[in-house]
Amino acid sequence: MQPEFFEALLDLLGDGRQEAGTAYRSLHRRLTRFFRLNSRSDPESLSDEVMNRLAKSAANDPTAIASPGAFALGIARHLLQEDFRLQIRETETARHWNVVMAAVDADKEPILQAIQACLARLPEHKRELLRTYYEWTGKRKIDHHRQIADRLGLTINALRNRLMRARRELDTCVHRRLRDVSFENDIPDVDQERTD
Amino acid sequence: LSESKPNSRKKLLHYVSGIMSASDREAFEQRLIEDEEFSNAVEADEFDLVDDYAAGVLPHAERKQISAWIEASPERRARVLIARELHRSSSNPQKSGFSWIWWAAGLAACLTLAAVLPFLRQPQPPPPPASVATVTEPATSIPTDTILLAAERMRGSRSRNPANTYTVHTGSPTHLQIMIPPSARDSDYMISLQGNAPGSRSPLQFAGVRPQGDTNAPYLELTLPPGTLFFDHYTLELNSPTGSYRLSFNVEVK
Repeated sequence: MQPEFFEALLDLLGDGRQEAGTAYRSLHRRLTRFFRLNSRSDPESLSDEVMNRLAKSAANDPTAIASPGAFALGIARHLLQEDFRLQIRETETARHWNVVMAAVDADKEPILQAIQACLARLPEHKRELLRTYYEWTGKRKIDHHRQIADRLGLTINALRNRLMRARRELDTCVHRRLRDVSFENDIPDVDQERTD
Repeated sequence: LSESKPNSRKKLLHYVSGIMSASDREAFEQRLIEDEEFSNAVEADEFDLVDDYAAGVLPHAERKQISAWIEASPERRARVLIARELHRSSSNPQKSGFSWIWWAAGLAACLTLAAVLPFLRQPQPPPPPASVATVTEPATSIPTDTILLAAERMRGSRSRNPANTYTVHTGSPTHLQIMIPPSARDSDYMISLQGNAPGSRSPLQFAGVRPQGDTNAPYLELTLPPGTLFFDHYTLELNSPTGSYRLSFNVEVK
């Protein structure tokens, strides 16, 4: 993103850098959720693109943007349509993922190996959290999760947030590992743990 | 205003399955982008939905609504596989060293037992009637689920009968009993069991399965270790020199 576009976007999102920065991250996160529900492509990249276009519009004519959220949603919908058209033409990413997943459907060994390798790379406490969280299903699951939350001194929601972060870290690692043809060598480290 | 969890989950299901009205969809998306609390709740609901789908614990209607959405995205399918693998590897904490080698060894022991039992015991009564989907064996301390099926000779690619749904329990082994015609009792069978959900395992193959029971009501029996069956639509194929059969059934996990 060009610096002047970025500045215009921050001016649009809030008074002061801190407030605007928080608003930026929050809007980006919500856009990512929108794309996660609707798109087949990488949700975070699509959110980046919305922010880029929003910034460009803010630099060109900020008065045209009454509500940054509503304006961003308009861009997101437009981008989603573009993405669908790209999907129809089979983008490289989609082709790659489909090839990977077709191979996984035929033989799940690669993904199972990737999961094990990525689990092994997680910090012990996250691995343990994932293991214990998934021990039970159905009605027993709820009681079990309550027990884990009590043991860790967390609310159920805080436990789930922590679990979702661990899962996202694992999913990202597996995704990268499957995407990287030479994954046996240099695997970039997954994002460092954030504080709860 | 915050919504109750069942309500927000229902809305999410309607949204991703495309059955929400245009105006509701518009409002849902607007809140998703502009309302931080709502957006957080949707993310948590989505996480639970995908996890419950992977664990096979979604009610049939919800599973139906969500499966096309999951199948449409390779990333979602990967998430289901990962969740399923986490469930599988965590479901028996006291047996952390459990592996497919032990699974195969257990299965081989069951098959051997199944082959030897007819010679060791008196003729058995026929299996329970088809309406009984689940029975508990009082003699054992571990409750066992039983799925009772009737073999149907292959005619074309599809079964003629609708698939029944059976409930199995996490942590319980499952007996699969398949009634076969009396005329088909003299051969050993190759049995193939395949789940149909995205991310299902490769087919399980069982060779040399010998019919049991008396001459009027023969049946084949397999014992599947806990955690083998998930919430899924399964296809079972039986092949012997005298004929081939295909059956299908649905499984719900409790």
